[in-house]
Amino acid sequence: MAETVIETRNLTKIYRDFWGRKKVRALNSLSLDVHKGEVFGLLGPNGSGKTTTLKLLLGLLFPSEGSISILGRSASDVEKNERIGYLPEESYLYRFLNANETLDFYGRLFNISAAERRDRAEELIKMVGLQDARRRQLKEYSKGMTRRIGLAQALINNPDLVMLDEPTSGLDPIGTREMKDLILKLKDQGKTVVMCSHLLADVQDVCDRIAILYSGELKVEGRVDDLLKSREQTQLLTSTLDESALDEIKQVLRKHNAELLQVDQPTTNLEELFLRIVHESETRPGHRVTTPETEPQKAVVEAGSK
Amino acid sequence: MDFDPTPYPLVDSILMWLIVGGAIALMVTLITVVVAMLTGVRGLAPRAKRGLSDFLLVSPRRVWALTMLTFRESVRRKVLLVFVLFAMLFMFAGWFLSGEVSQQGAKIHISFVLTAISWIVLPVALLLSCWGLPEDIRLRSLHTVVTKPARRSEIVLGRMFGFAMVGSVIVAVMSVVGYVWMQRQSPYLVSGVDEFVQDGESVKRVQFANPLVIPQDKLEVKVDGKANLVESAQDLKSKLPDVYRLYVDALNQAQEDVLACRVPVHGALIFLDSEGKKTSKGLNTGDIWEFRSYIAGNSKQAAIWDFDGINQEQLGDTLRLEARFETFRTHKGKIDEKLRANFILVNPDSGLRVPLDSFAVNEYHDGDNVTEVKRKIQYFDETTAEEKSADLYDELVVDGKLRVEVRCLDSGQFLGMARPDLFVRAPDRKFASGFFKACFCIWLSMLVVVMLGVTGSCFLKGPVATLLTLVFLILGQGLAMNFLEKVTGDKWKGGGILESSVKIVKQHSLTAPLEESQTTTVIKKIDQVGSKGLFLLRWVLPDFRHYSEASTWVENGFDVQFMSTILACIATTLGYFLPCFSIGYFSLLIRELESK
Ligand SMILES: Nc1ncnc2c1ncn2[C@@H]1O[C@H](COP(=O)(O)OP(=O)(O)OP(=O)(O)O)[C@@H](O)[C@H]1O
Ligand SMILES: [Mg+2]
Repeated sequence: MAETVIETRNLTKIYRDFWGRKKVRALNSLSLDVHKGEVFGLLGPNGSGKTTTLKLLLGLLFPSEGSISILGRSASDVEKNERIGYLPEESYLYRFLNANETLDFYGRLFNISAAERRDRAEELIKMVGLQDARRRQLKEYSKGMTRRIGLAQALINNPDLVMLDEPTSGLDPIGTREMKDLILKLKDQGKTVVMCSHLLADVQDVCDRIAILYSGELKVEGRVDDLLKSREQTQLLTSTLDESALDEIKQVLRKHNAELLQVDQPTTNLEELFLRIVHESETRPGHRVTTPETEPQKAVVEAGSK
Repeated sequence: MDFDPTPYPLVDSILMWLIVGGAIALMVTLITVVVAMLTGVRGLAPRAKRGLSDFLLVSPRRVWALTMLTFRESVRRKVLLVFVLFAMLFMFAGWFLSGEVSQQGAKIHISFVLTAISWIVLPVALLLSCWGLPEDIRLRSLHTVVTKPARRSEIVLGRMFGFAMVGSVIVAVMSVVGYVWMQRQSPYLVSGVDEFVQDGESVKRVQFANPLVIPQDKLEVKVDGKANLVESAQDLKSKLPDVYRLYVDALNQAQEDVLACRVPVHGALIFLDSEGKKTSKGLNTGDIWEFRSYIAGNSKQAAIWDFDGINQEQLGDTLRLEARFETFRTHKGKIDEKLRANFILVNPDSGLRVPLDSFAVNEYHDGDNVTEVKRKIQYFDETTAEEKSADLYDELVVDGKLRVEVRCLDSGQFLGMARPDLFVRAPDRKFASGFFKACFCIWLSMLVVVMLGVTGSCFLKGPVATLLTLVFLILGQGLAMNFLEKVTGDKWKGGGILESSVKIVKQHSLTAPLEESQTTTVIKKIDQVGSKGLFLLRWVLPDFRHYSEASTWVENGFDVQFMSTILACIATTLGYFLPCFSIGYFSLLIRELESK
């Protein structure tokens, strides 16, 4: 078993008002373990306590009860931050700085040398695709651009543990794809990623393990594959089959006491379609992009003539 | 302001700082512990422990990054637009000051510039420092910073230094601009040029129109008997270039006289009473202000100043004595004549007495009494009844010590004086020296405001922090401080606040004691605690009088002395650093940075 990076025990957070009266029990007795090198997803509907959990881990909030160990230290220890990168829910950055200055400033907080700061800022700005906007103040940025610089800022110290609060919110599909690729790349580099989201598709694509919160309570925790594997059904994917072939298959199935539940052609999901269109526009500019709606008949005819 | 430059009691102040600081630290710790126990807040002890260790591990580079961030923020929020305000003030100042400038000369200009600087920089510093952190918390940009290895102590320091830097830029620019403005503002205009022969050479001399008033109408300048009309110096330059050159030279000379920077050497003052015995105070003529005491004319009474540090290298061959006395007449005498007084220089060792010529006493609206003592002094020795001469440095000054005795010569009249009323005037410094020292003191006061503001903003929201700092700023000014000093001093005769209120309600005499009883004891106990509280308040409030004192010196044509004024300002400002820093830091440490 890999070493534990984050460990919480009975973590509880009660928000109180100015007079110390209870307002919300945002997190109730959460016990979690995150291991080194995995991508861990915190899921749950709005207001279920995902952000609260991250803030507790970072020491931004103080737990009402329970204990936290993060990178072997306590949450209120400042030194743990040397190895952590955090992308807040919304990018809370200084709006009067431009992208270069932002990265330089946060780099300085890590006492990174000037030369290294410059190299890293260069690399990160390229990575998040803000080369053209690097000298504009953040207050002029669109939401997605702010997200991107927020991500760059989170990686300025080459962290071992990356915490991303809804990393794909506000990003366009390409940005989302890139974000997912990045998370997987970070994982390849042996880093630990904790992300929270309520976009299940995103989580499913990248996470090794997930925990699902519902109004502050932990409902499910485990490996994504295990959680999503359905033991009652098996799926086959083949090239196009005609009626007679299908009949034969049904007979085979009957011999094995199974039933054919559903036959259809697989569709691409919207995300893949969008990505293809953008890709085609880039490689063949000026052409009208062919979409599945304009094409299917032809495809059927071709299949029939074979 | 009494112009009595006593050296700042540094050691006493440090002691007081330790006592008051210690008392407050103790109180805060106790309250925190009690509150923690009552509300069951967990983890306070480990947090405080970590806090203490973090306190010492401040990284200068991170502080610098946060400082620059703060500075940049202010600049990009266009804070430096205050310069526009400042510039406008100066544009209009010429008009509304011109009428005022008369006898007071440059004083009004200096005072205007210094007041403008501090009245602009202090509010700016106040608002910036009180709103910086709360906004940072509200917008949650601080979240991103504290999830980096930035310690909360570094955040507090970064804020303080950053705002201090903004304030420094403002003070620096304004003082330079103000200085140049004053130099150019001297409202002299030439009224004529006369030519005369001196030592066989023909000399031209410029005459000024009323030197300190800008003429309302055109000025007639007579040169070689020919009248020329000029409106301004610029006009003069184009019409009479020769005269203009003379004018500029004379102007520089005059400016040196008006924008003066006198360096006083003060002595210690004692009095001789009517029997010739030494006392610390002279007579009281019934003045409410007990600052000056009086000596009677034509009696054995005298005032004796002992000066130290009189040396030839520093002062040159002539000794300038400047005095400013007050007179008190018990009979009219010759009402149109001034009282007469004289100085007697005394060798403090041998007792050699050298009386100087008597002089008519100018009261303060007539200007100062300046006596120039040449090195070789001719005097009339009364005991031997012969003319003698004495050498100032060889026969009167011993190891830099010199005694000056003052006597009033008119019988039945009184002459009032206090320690700073007579001083040896060392060679003047450049006006810039005094002026920029005063600006330095304003800068120091700006630092105090920044520190207070940042501290308040660590645990309060912007508006409340502003209000709190403002209260500190106002109470720290002379009026409230004088009051507090009086209340906490021994001289308060009516008893404490509660006791005197009881007396007022019962219509009891304010100075007579209340009759002994249980309640009286309780009242007195409560008052004791109350006066301890007031005592604390008096020492917690920053004494802004020190800072304004520096300006007052310069306005009155003096240099700002280090030991009495600048040291006091530096000590006061430094005294606030540690308390403000630690209060700010610990309040940031124990609070969640969630805006509520
Ligand atoms: N500062 C706060 N003061 C009071 N209550 C809060 C505060 N922050 C969050 N809460 C409450 O805590 C609960 C959990 O909030 P949290 O932000 O952790 O949810 P979340 O899972 O991140 O939701 P989302 O998907 O919308 O981001 C909510 O009921 C919320 O109202
Ligand atoms: Mg959230």
